[in-house]
Amino acid sequence: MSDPAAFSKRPIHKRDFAFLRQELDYWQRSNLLSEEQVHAIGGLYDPSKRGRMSQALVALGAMLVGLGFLSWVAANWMEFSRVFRVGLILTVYVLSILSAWQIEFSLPKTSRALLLLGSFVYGGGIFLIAQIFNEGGHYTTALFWWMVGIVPAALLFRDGLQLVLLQAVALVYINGFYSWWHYGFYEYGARAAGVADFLWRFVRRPEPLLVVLILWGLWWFIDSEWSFGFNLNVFIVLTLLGIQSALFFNDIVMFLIFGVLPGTALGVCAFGRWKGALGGWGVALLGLCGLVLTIPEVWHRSRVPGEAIFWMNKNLMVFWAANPEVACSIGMAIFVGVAMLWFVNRGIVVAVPFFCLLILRYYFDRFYDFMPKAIFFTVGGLILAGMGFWLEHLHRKRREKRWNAEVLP
Amino acid sequence: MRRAAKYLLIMVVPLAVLLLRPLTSALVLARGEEVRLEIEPFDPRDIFRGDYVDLRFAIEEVPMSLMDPRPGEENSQDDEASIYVTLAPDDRGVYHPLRLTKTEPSKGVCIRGRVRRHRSLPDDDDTVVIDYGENLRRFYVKENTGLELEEAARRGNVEAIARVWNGRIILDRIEIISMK
Repeated sequence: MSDPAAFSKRPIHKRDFAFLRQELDYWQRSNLLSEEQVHAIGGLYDPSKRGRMSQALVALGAMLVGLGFLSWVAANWMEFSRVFRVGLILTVYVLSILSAWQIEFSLPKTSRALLLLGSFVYGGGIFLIAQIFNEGGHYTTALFWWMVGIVPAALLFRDGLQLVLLQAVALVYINGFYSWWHYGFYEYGARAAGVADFLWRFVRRPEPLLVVLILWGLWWFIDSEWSFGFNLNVFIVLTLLGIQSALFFNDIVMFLIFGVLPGTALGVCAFGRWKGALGGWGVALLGLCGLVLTIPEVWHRSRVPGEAIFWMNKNLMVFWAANPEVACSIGMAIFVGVAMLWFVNRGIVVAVPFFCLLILRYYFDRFYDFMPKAIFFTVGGLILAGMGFWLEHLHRKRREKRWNAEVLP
Repeated sequence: MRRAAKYLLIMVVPLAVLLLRPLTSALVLARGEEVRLEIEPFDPRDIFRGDYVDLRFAIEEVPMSLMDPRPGEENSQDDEASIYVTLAPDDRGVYHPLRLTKTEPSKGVCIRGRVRRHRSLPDDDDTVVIDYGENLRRFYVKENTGLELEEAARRGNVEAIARVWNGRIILDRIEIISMK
């Protein structure tokens, strides 16, 4: 076994050291470790001697010094020569990375933070250098290069923080890319050709799609169990599709239906390890778009109710022709309500608040104007409380089901 | 992989981007010939890069009569193709277009651009609108000083100093000159 004295001591708070000693003693009593091993492990750590007050003062002082330096640089930035400005950016970046390297083992969390700082300095440096040389161009180009620079750090260090930064930059990039370049609006794609045309734009300018694929690849490589990264990736995909469909459809109803259908499909098809997360996103998409479509005024400006009459059964046509917007909104409400109940039954509890919102939306809409306020709020409160009890009942059922599956044969 | 290699590797791409992207601009500023140009700025703001003045130059619109060869003649200029604008100074030292050619001239100060469109106005010479690229569109200024420049431009008291090298042009500074 290597000599612990050969390693520099790792700093540790006195409270943490006390916990460590307590656990080491327990392991020794349990014959998991020998006395020599306990002593060797304890000898690796150096409980901090400085008091909290002095630490806080030092930290505050360092922060103020840093702030003062930054303020001086910012105030005189345009007066510095170009060479000085570029040199400053490069120096700060290199120092961040080298510092992260130096303290990798002694202060691992600070080392990661310095790596992240380096990525931020790099990104800011791209924009600052463009400013220094008066370069124009769309900001998405700079964001693209920023992402390219972060990927090595995310890959080599398998660092989730770098991936989160990459995802945040990608989100802005995707939003900006298609707002800068989008071609034409298309009439709502009820025909197959319309859907193909919608998909073709991803082939014609595939950069955002490639970025999304890289993000998924990185997430899988870094930690395929990491739910925050997974959910952020799903959000980015939905943003990409949402923006594109918003630009593509010049009919708000078609845009919202384009949210309802994939949301439903996502909720229905969610399975496996990520059933809860994917199902939740699908239900949220269905719920948000579907709830808006329960408002008759949304359908009023759309061509969909008028066009749909050609597909109608003749018996329904009478009511439909008289009140197409109301008919569509009621139809959507029924669909959303049934879908949410189905998802609740499937164990996707995110459906419960959306079902509640659907009920409350009609309750407010129908009863607010004529009901006495006292009764209105009382009944509304009873509805909410009832939904809360229902949700708790569902949670309990799920816990019991999980317990039975795991514990009982 | 060794620790040192990892840390050095993650710096390669960012340092390459930070150093190589502005390399051409830096070379033009270091080795280019100084030219003085007339401008008409206005004052917007870029949320990422700061205050800037959006610039329009007199050299962006060039009379078609300066084209060599003329449109309609053999080998004349197509839209969207690259073009070389030869500049020459007037009595005040302000540079104006002298000639437009398809190939880079062997001598004189010239900038490479792209023909954006032709413009025909009644009672006026037909003109060619030329795009010189992103480096001649905007000039970044200290915060809240753009309006001062805009005011000066409205009075015709602003000139841009740029550097030209190898067909490329980079803005160096903007000067408010004394009242005309």
